[in-house]
Amino acid sequence: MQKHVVQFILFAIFVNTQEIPYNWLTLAFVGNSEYQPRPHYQSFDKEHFKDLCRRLDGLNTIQQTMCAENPFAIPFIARGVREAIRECETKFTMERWNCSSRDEVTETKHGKFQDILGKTFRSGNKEAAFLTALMSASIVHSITKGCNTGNLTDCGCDSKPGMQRYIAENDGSTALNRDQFSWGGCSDNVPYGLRYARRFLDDFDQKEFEETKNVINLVRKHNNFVGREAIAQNIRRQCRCHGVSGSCEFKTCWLQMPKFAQVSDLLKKRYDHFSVQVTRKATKRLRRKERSERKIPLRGNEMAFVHRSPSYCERNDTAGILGTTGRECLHNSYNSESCDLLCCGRGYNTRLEVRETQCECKFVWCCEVKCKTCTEEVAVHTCK
Amino acid sequence: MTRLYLFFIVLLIAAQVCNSLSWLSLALASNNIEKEKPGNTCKSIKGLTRRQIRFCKKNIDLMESVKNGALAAHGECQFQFHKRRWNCTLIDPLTHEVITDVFLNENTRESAFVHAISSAAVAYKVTRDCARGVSERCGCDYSKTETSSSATSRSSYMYQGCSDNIKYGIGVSKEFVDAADRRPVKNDTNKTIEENVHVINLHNNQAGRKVLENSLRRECKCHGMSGSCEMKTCWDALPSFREIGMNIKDKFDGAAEVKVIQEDEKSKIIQKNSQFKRHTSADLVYMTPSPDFCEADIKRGILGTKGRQCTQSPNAIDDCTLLCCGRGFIKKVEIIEDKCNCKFHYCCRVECEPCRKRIEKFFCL
Repeated sequence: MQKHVVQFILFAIFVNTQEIPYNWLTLAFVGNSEYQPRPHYQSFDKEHFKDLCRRLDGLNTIQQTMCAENPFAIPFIARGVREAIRECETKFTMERWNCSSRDEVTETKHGKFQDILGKTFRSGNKEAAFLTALMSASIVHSITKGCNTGNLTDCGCDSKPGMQRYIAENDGSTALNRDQFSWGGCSDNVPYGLRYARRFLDDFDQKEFEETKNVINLVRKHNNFVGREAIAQNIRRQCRCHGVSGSCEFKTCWLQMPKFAQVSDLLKKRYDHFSVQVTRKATKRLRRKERSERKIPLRGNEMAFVHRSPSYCERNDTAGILGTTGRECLHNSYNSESCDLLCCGRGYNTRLEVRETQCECKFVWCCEVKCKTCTEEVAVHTCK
Repeated sequence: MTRLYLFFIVLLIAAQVCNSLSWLSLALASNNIEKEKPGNTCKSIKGLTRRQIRFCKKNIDLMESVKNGALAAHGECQFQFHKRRWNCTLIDPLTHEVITDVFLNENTRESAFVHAISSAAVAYKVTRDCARGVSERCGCDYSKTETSSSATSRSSYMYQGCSDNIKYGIGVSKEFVDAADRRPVKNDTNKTIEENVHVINLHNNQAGRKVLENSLRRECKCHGMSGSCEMKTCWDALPSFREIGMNIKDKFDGAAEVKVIQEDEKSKIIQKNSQFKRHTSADLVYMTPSPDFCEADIKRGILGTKGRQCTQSPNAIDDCTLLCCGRGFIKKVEIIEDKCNCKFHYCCRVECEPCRKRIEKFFCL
């Protein structure tokens, strides 16, 4: 993570304006050193919590309230955001937009506020849709994980797992008593995570939309939903048999949510194939821009966006776009990472880099492996 | 009157001096090359320099191949660039003259590509025509002796097939294509600049031929009992020109920015940025960064991207946002008649129903 933070700071531009936008992704920078809520024993601790949360720039009013109610959830969300950014970067390494942006940094009372990915996040285009859904999923994931491990005191394992939607894993047990099982173990409390995420993200956008009728709020709300669904639709039932000599006389099952890498995979696919452009005006619900499909409501697996994306080829400071100049590309490829497409036709430079690798490794009795260091020249291509 | 005449001659020479690719107009020239009267025919071809006219007179039987080379180069360039902002509009369809020569003379990457593809194309077409027996001066290349046959024990007999006579083709290309850049520089004030332009052009011509040489493949055919490889005929053959176009396009993407320096009274091409890898003899080089080709600049031979067709796929090279340079685009819906629900009736006809298809097309504003 350290590397990523450094990378963001490099791209940052310092701006001295007092007005800072709402951007809860800045929680990614919340470390353990400055944010340590004390467990509450005394009544004045509530003030302490409020004070602590007020220092977190970029949170909106609802998020501030939720923070003050349970400040111990914030580090989980922060970890979730960091993981999500890492996932986003790996999923987009080979595309013109590589999940980076030129962030503005503002001096505030509580230190520096870096508007991390903010310009893209608020832009209403396809990349914003992906980010929104991914971040919403990251909250569900991290909060649920917090519940499951017992680190969050407000929640625990799901006591009624039967109420959740889930996919029954085919575990190869005999057909006879396949459906006879008892819930046991610790089922992931996804409903709690979903509720938390809905309140943390949706309530504010709903309120804003009712006041301003800005379609971006509605779009964000929908994409939050897409992110939550990506987890909710993929909860699996895991089972274990315990009978005499491993037979399936007794079966205990529990529910498990998908790994976050799986969730981001799914969302990337939705970004690639199931993104829907919606109209710029909406009174109650989102409508597809395509006239012939207006009556079809948006599904939970379709991301919504309002504006078309820029090409991300050239650097544009006002939109926070870094451009693809200097990006590494692949020479012999016909996909989006090929030099031709990634460099937007501008061509590439080739640099020879000497890399050290271990080679001619031998096993020496007993017990070590001895290697030689070889140097090899690698051609690295970077966009012009 | 004589003064006016002289003035025209000077103009003609000046026009010839600044065009190193003008001969490509051969591609769209409608008149056939008459072999009976080389003098008249060669003079009537537009865009040739004096050296090239001399070559033409001497080798009139090769000119058909050269013309085909120009055609192939033009076609391949248009194929490789049809999705890009500069779509290789080289020749004015009305006047049949090379129009983009102006910016191509600035030693841009695009110019490097055109030089390489045209010199490779001439070599390619001449070589192919030699193997087909069109010209009497050249035939198959039998120079490669069967040394490998003794080494490989499995093939006991090895006959030599007709290898593409690439040496001859390359020689012709060197003489004809390079002639445009092998001419004395008359203008004293811009002497070094103009000389440098020639040095770069000649390098790129050579690079195109080198790519061609590298793509020569050995092909073999077995003819023993029931297809066994007791007897084998092998020959070296060139791949399709598309493959060569692809390779040169790859070189275009990785072209190196260079400068020309004088060392021991010789021109030498060196990297502009020493951190980057040095170019090889098969790599393209350029001196001037290309313009963005967004807006039309007719004087320099740039048509702009207004009215160009684009697609709506974000990472593509002809994506509307990229191709239209952010100016926006319009959608046109076309309804076309197509055949559908086709059924086969015994025997033997296929009946189809006519149906209408809706096609969306996008054009840059």
